Amino acid sequence: MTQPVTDDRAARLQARLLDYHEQDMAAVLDLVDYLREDGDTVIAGGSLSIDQGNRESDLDMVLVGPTTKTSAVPLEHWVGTLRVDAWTRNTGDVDALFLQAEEALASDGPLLNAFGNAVQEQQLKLLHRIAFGVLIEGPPIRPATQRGPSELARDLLTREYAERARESAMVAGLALVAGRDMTAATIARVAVEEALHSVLHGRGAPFSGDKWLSEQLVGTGDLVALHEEVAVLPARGEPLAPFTERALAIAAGLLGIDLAPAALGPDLAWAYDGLALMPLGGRKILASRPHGTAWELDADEAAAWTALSASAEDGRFDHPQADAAQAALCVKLYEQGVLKLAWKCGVPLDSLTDPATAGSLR
Amino acid sequence: MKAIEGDIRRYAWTHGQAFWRMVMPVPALLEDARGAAADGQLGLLRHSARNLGTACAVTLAFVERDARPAPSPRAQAAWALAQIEGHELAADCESLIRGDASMGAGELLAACVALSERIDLVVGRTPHPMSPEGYFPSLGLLREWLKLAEAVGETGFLPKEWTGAL
Repeated sequence: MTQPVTDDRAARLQARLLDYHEQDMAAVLDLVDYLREDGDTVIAGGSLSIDQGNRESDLDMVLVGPTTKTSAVPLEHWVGTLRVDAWTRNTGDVDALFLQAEEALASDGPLLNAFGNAVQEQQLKLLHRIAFGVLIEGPPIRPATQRGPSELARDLLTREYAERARESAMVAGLALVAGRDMTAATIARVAVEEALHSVLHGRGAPFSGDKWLSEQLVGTGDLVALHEEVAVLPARGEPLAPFTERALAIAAGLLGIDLAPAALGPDLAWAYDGLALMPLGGRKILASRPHGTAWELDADEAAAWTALSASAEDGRFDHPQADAAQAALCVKLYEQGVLKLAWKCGVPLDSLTDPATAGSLR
Repeated sequence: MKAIEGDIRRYAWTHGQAFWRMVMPVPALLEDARGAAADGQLGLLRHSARNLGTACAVTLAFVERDARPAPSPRAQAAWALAQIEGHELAADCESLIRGDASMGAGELLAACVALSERIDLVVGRTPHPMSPEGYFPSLGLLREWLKLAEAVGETGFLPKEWTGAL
């Protein structure tokens, strides 16, 4: 269940509201009172509730009740200088969300398949706010799941970020081989940060957004140093490939899984929509109908695309594991936004190991 | 009368995307950067600066280079820098994207503010959606961009789940 305020987080939250904004929780409750129903649950979520945040941070208030209507978007309010985003949720919708999370974790498919659209992604953020937030008033949230909200949320985060790191590492690895150095370096840095998130939450840390990674790593020792290694890219003019190689090694070490393209390739397919290769006076034009855009391919690229598209079914083909030219073209088209990765499976939690203990991150 | 140059569908898409890019994330990133600088949260400041550099580069790619489509978020920094190569603001965007360990918090925040103000001059200053006075005006302007996109046959730039266009 959601953690009741038996610790002093509520007191620390109150102290920061007073310090930053000269407001207290009573003023916040007055502000959102018009949204409340009798007996509902009020949770304060977001960065301030997990001892992160600063004087510019907003406060997320989640109001949950059996007769409460679910809001499509957070409702923005201000009390003095404090911005308060209020989310209303029906208890049934919250139950369904946690059940969906439990089912997604039990599935072998990628998590993105369970939380793949914008509404579901927003729901996922809300799930974290409920699971890690501070209970202000009302009964704790008790979804009809086998495990509690915070346990589910942490497993979801661990696996979700591991799957993100897998995707980033795959693209960065392919880009490195294809000589797309800036793409490789910028995405390899992201892979490390995603892997750090996975480890951090696997160890039990709460979550309020990507942006708090660095601050949340303070005190972890081993993870801080790894993050510092990749926080800044080499200066302009300096080679990027060594940075990328080191970043990919760090990401793999953090998760305890092989993130090399050769290892990941069999689990990957590529998806596209509305691409057609057209001959034009001896040239080869790859046209994207949805975007009204086209690229001229050289002979090798055209041959690669012809082979890839010939193997496609329903706009999807397997990653060309054994053909470097085809793999390089996949990266170039991914860079242009017309090819997307489509994973055939998720990253099982049991496959992840903590770099400090070599024990499972589960 | 002044003609809008080029294809109006592409104009609506690229400029609508640029508006969406600037008006929604950039004020939030600047807010994060200011809060981080004030509270000594260098990690948050670096993160915000990098994302602000990316948002500005992508905005320039849309508006100044007419680029379409954009890749997935993780690839956008490199994509946008390639698109805006040679632009007078490209180096400033790249500096924030790469990061610079030698820059102190005040210097980094100043670089963020300076770049966002120069981008404002390119795309036009927009209402601040995270302020009481700018919330509804920014939503109103966003709606106008969406209506233009729909009027010329574009699918818009908001998630389909938000617009009911599934």
